[in-house]
Amino acid sequence: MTPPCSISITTAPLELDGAYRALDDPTTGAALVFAGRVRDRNTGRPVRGIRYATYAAMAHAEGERIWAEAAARWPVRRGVIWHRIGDLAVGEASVLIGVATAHRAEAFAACQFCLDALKERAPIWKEETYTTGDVQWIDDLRSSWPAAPVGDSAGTSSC
Amino acid sequence: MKTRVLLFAGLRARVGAEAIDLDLPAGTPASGVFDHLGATPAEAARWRAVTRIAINMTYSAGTTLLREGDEVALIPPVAGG
Repeated sequence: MTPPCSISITTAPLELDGAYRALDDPTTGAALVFAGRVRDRNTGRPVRGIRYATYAAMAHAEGERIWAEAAARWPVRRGVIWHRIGDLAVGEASVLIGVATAHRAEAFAACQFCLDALKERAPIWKEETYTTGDVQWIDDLRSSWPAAPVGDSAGTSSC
Repeated sequence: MKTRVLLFAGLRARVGAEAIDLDLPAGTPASGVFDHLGATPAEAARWRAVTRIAINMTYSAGTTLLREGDEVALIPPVAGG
């Protein structure tokens, strides 16, 4: 049975104290939390803020899959996979990945695995606003698609 | 065959909708949805080359055949974490 992991995709600020509390387990000698934060520059351009968007239900499901894979490889006891979405300022935490294990080596390894897997697989996107006022989806492929919406559109435009 | 296609990030901005509802022939592979987004074949090919596909919230190969009621999501390059 997979050990418990707190998985959350939320607009609320991520609190380190809360992450450590979620890792409470007297059998664990190692509690490790990684915090990813918004940096002030990306590709040389000064960043003013970031907006994260997500396919929330799948992000949660992917988080569960990632934790199950980590639990199959390392003797993890508790986990935290928290990602913040919405508007974040420079310096704010976008992600907290936490692991509690009996000993430190597997804590570091499992934490890195979960973080790397989340970065590669989680359906979460980032739109950066630069101090110039420019706004850009990261890894957006610029193309010359027509601006008009397709005829079968069911929703309204919103990024 | 009713298929809902969810769009995100840059692809959502380009197409101008959060989701589109398609009526596709039975046996359409998932990668076929790129042909229904209003782009030229060349532009659809560019997106197809870098966009992952999820069917009912699980990453799937583009060759997977769609079924009635499937929820398809087009996943442009992600940037979480």
